[in-house]
Amino acid sequence: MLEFQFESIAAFVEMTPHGVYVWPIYGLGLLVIGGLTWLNARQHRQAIRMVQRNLEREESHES
Amino acid sequence: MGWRWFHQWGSPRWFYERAGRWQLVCGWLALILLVAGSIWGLGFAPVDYQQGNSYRIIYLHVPVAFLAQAMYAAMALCAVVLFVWKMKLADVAMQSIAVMGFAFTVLSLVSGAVWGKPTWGTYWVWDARLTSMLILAFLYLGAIGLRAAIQDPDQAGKACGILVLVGVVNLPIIKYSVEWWNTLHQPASLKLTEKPAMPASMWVPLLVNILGYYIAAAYLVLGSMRAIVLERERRATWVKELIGRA
Repeated sequence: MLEFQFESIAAFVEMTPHGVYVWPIYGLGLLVIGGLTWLNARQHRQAIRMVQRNLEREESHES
Repeated sequence: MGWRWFHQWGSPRWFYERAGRWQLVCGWLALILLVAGSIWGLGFAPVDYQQGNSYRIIYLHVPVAFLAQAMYAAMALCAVVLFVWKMKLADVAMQSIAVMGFAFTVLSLVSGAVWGKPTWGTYWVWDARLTSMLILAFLYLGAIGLRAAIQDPDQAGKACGILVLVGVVNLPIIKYSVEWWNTLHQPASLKLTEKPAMPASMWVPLLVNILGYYIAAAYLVLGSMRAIVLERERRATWVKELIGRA
């Protein structure tokens, strides 16, 4: 059975005395994965916009 | 059947249409595994009798360090596919993996350095494992920089492929550095051939996170590859039809 290893949430956050090392690393991990996801979505949106602009240009040339 | 499964990868359209669905599955699976594995490791795994709670960095450090090396190996495999079968998608994969691999290598170096401070008393030592990982970061950076420096995409792909293949020599150096040299870095935490030195209550959440980070990497690489495919194929009829319809 899994057992919570800390007496309280405050003790969990503090991780005496290592919370100051542990939590920023997990924050950084979240930032890296979140940041890369955001960059991918932005790159995808930009690619779609680029294709749409090309299509509009082609249509205006035809008409 | 035969080689059809392999030849399908030669079609950017085939890939683009399917990768969106794969990405969605990978994204949710990675989120579930990473949330579960991280909460388990941070709150429910027992305290290490020597390192105290600082060892909990292992649940991020080890998966991203594994990933940094595995992604480089995947990039090298893509280079081989590019040179042997001239598959465009292999070059797209190389371009995507280089960025993701670099990010995970930096994360591995930073998390290792922060773990080193309470454990070794220093953020950095020039030991073989740390130095070879730093070289890996430079190899990724080299692949990114080289591609950016060459205008012709085909030439850029070939140049990157050569660089990546030359850099493969660094992978066994990273893996065996803790055995060949006397390093401050500890030996491997998990080995396929041996029972782990730590109890199951510690390594099971680690395994969950390793799986989670691998699937997260697949999610990120697929997302990046879809965007690059769309950019490169922007003049193709299938792209115009797809975007025009949307």
